[in-house]
Amino acid sequence: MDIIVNLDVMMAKRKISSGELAERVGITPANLSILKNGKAKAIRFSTLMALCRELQCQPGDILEYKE
Amino acid sequence: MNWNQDKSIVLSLVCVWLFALVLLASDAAAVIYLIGQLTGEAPFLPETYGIAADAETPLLTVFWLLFSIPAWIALFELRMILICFRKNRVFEAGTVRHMRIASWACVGAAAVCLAGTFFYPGMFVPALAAAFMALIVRIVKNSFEAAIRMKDELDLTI
Repeated sequence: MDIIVNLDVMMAKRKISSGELAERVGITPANLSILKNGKAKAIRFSTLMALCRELQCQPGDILEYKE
Repeated sequence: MNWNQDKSIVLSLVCVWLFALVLLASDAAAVIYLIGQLTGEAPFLPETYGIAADAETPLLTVFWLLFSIPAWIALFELRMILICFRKNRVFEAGTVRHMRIASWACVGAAAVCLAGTFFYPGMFVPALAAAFMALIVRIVKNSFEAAIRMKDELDLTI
């Protein structure tokens, strides 16, 4: 059971780079990398909201539950 | 007085050094006394200086020397913990390791004192004190472990 972060897929769909997304969301590129690599232990609602806003998507497009 | 955290750590380090000096002096006195007992040479015997020695004194001196081994280890680990604090490396695995070793050193000291109880019942008191100290250090160590887990989780919250 795991939560998969599909951030890289959404970023590829929206054709946006890591640096640009990090700047728009207001987090450091290092933290975005942690999120993309699935090493993050938690995500704040504010970060998720900013990601959805910038990527024009729903939280379910970024996060996926796999058994 | 302008008191801050750094000065407090320095004071603790000075106290550790003072304890180490007292331990060194007592160890040296114990060794000199035991040499006097073994060789029978007058300059090393306390009786030469008018100090009365009990029948248990040589055995107690041996126990003191055995007790000083874990005491040295505990003092060294306390010094290392304080150095970690000084470098702002508080909630790290290294600090917890030093605390674990210090706790086991206290257990070792308690064991030595407990063994000495068979020969001198009064040693039960330091045995109890050392065991209690080990318990306190262990609980502090457990708290630090929990804090490190929480910090890791917080650090990985994006």
